[in-house]
Amino acid sequence: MPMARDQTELLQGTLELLVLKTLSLEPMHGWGISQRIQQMSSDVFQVNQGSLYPALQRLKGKGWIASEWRVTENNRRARFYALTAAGERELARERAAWERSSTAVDRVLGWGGGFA
Amino acid sequence: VRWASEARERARALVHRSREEAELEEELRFHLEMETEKNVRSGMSREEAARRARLAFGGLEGHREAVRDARGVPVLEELWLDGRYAARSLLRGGSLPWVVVATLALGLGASVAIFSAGRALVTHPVPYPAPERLLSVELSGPRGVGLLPREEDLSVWRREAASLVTLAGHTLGPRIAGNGERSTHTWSLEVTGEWFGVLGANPRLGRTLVPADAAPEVEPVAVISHRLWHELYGGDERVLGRALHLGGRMHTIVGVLAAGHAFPAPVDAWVPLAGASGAAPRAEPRHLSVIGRLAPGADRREVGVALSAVQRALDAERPEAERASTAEILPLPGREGEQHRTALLLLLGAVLFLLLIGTANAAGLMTTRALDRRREMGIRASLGAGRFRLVRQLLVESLLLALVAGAAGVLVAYLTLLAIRHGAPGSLTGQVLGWDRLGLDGTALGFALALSVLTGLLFGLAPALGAVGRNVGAALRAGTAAATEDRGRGRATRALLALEVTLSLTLLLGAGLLARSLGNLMGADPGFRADGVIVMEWSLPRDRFAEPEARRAVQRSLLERVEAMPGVAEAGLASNLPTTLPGFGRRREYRQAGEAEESFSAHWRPVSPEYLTALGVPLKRGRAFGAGDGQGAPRVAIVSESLARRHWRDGANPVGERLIVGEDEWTVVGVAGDVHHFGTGFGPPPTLYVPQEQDPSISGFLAARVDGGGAELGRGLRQEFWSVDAGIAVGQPRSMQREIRDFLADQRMMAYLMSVYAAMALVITVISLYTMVAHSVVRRRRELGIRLALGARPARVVAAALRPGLAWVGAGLLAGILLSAALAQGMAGLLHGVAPLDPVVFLLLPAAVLTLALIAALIPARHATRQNPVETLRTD
Repeated sequence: MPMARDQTELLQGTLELLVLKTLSLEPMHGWGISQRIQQMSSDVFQVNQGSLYPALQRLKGKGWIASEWRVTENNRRARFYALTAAGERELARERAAWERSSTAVDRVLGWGGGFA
Repeated sequence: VRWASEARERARALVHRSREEAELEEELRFHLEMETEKNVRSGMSREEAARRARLAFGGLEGHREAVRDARGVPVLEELWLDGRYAARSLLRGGSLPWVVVATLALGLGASVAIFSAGRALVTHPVPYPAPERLLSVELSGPRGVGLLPREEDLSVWRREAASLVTLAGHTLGPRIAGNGERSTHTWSLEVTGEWFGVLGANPRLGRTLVPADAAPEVEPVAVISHRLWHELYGGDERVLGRALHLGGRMHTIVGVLAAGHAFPAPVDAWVPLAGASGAAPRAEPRHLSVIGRLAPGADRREVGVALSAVQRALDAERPEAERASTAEILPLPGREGEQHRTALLLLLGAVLFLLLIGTANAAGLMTTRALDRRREMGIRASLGAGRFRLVRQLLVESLLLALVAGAAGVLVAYLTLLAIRHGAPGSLTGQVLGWDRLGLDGTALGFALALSVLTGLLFGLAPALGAVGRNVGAALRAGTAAATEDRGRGRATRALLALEVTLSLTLLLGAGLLARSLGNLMGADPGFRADGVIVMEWSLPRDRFAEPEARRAVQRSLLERVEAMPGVAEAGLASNLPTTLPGFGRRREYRQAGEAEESFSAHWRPVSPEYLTALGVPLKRGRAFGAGDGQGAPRVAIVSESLARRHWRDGANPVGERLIVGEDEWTVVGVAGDVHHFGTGFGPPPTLYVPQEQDPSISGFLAARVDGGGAELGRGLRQEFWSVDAGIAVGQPRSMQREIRDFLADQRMMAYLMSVYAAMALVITVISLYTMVAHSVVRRRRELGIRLALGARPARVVAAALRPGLAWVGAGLLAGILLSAALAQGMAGLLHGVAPLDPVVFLLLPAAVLTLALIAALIPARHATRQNPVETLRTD
């Protein structure tokens, strides 16, 4: 599917981080997760279903999320995913790592002005 | 705990595979529905909303695939899925897959059978401890190869090479064994004292022979085989101490060998070498077969060098013609084992060809099938299935086919081995160690499995890669709709066909050469008339017939009795029959009186006067033996034509010439026609016939020309012998023709197996050709239909349908002829009276293959012209 210029495809690791973050708010089904990520990123991140469901499968395999079948508000059966305790720890770890690296990237990008 | 939950997840996935799949399906469907609803809410029509949702979602198949991969257990379950899919698609695939299975099963089965036979005969020929240290020794020199050392030389060898190798010798002993009541026809071996120690054979009862048994003052003892123990003594545990009559001499049984420990295989009794201690000096040197066991740390080459040096020193004092100073160290089964090895290698080559043909055929058919399915592959690819996934799918199909073929092949192998074991008469089964162990074991089954998988990969990979092109669009367009055949894609199939033709023609030519060789052996004039002749082996008790006079008397009365029997036209006694192998039977050295010291060797055949006439051997010159040629009369001899040619050129008459044998002078009184020994590579052996009366042998054969009366007469013959002297051991009466047939068993077996394999190869190739042309015609039916519709003559259309295939068949035939011409040279040793490039074989068989190919191609090609052009053009 062609991607709009201002939309960015997510790297696999980033997508997993975002999924964990999304699930830390509340348990959610796959479609909901994709909507929420799109919303939260103000439509910058377009979640590709081809990456989302394998990512969910991987996170489940690592034991960071769990899934169960529930009924949605409009009475439909859907698979909901929720963060596990291990998932919460992982999220904290990942977030710290992300912040470190993004700060570093910011510094590098902002370097031109800082010392002039 | 992470690994634990991961493992749990994987296990769950494996167990609940189908549920997982269903849940994933539902989850994805839910996603699509939610997306659709969202689109509806934003104001699209439901139809448009669903379309956009699917568009946004992308390829479903790909997503499923990715999730499965992420789930982490794709290999097993996907192989299972692939396998199921493959089975379904093969079952729907018409006759093609079954042709593949059948042809491969033949090739695989034949390969596994010969592999098993080869392993039984070559790899594990002897059941004794540390078989790799066992060896046999033969000499070679100007006189030829495969020569045996003299008995006294062996003692020198033993002494000089004692630090390297323990050596022992043996020679064939009497052939008739009895328990005092019944006797049986068998082989016995006279062995030196160390013989069993070298071999390491285990007794089932009692002991084996030891050096002390050979001392002259010791009562003769014997060790018998497991088989003879059961045949003569009913497997009685108290057999030790009982008597074995061997060659008319009493032996006390001291041991029974364990089952399967008999060496060489057909031998049933082992006795100490008579006179081995040198008590009685022998008139002529005796030659012994030599076996040995390497000392720790020694190697075969060292032994060969040492023994050659010893033999050179011994030979230095002997005339040039007797020298044979190169000791050859062979693995234990010896030269006979070598011959069987050559034959087995040839057969192995044949079955590998057969397997290759089957594989090529399978590859061709699979290519055809894969091409027919390009559209299916295109559709699956456009639905998001990965290229690797599709290739794997096709490979799994090939492997499945190969495994089914492998299973069927094991059955074919089992039946083949059964046929070999029961079909090969005495000479082959008896002489080859390990033949009784012929069967399928774990290794053979493993070999079958490995070969099947390899074959499956071999014939599956190329078609699979070819069918799953990178270009999905082209694959989708490809199909039966195209009017003409895609040029490139037919080429591979045709090249495979050419390869099949090449290989099967090569097999056919090989089989043809062997068959002609066999035909020559069976049809060639043997120099005597076998029909209507009954032969029977006999042997006199050695102790009572030590004196020549006693032997003369009993032989005279035997002949009188037999000749008086109704139905017997002529009867004679001889020390050996023409079917005796060249290595066996008595030979003597002789020289011409008044000539230089040069001595020659010839077969020595004491015969009674009627023997040559009974066997129908023509007298070319001079006279036959008569009643006057008895003891005390001048010594006379009849020479064979080949012996006469050796000394008297240009038809000079040898009658009256004198030959010196040992101390005595023999006058030539006649020339007899040559009698051919059967077997490849043996010409008519130079033979000296002398009257039994002048050198009465202790054992030999009766040859009687009879006017019918078969079995009845046979029983009568034995009775007559026993009425003369109940102590005479008598073998089974057999027809001479049967002797010859058994004698040729090996060649018959070879020619038979090669013919069967060649026939299989030809059948596979013809099927292959038929299928290829048939498919090509189907694919091109629009093109051919258009040609017909435009008014082309049917003959031209047939030619157009045939041309591509037949050109490749021609190329294959040519390559086959060239390949065979190269390979046939290696077969020369197995051929008798046939040149390796025999023109009859090399012209006839290719012509036959070409004819068959034409017929196989014509049937489907003609079909093309019978169709209704309008009908054809309308089909997709």
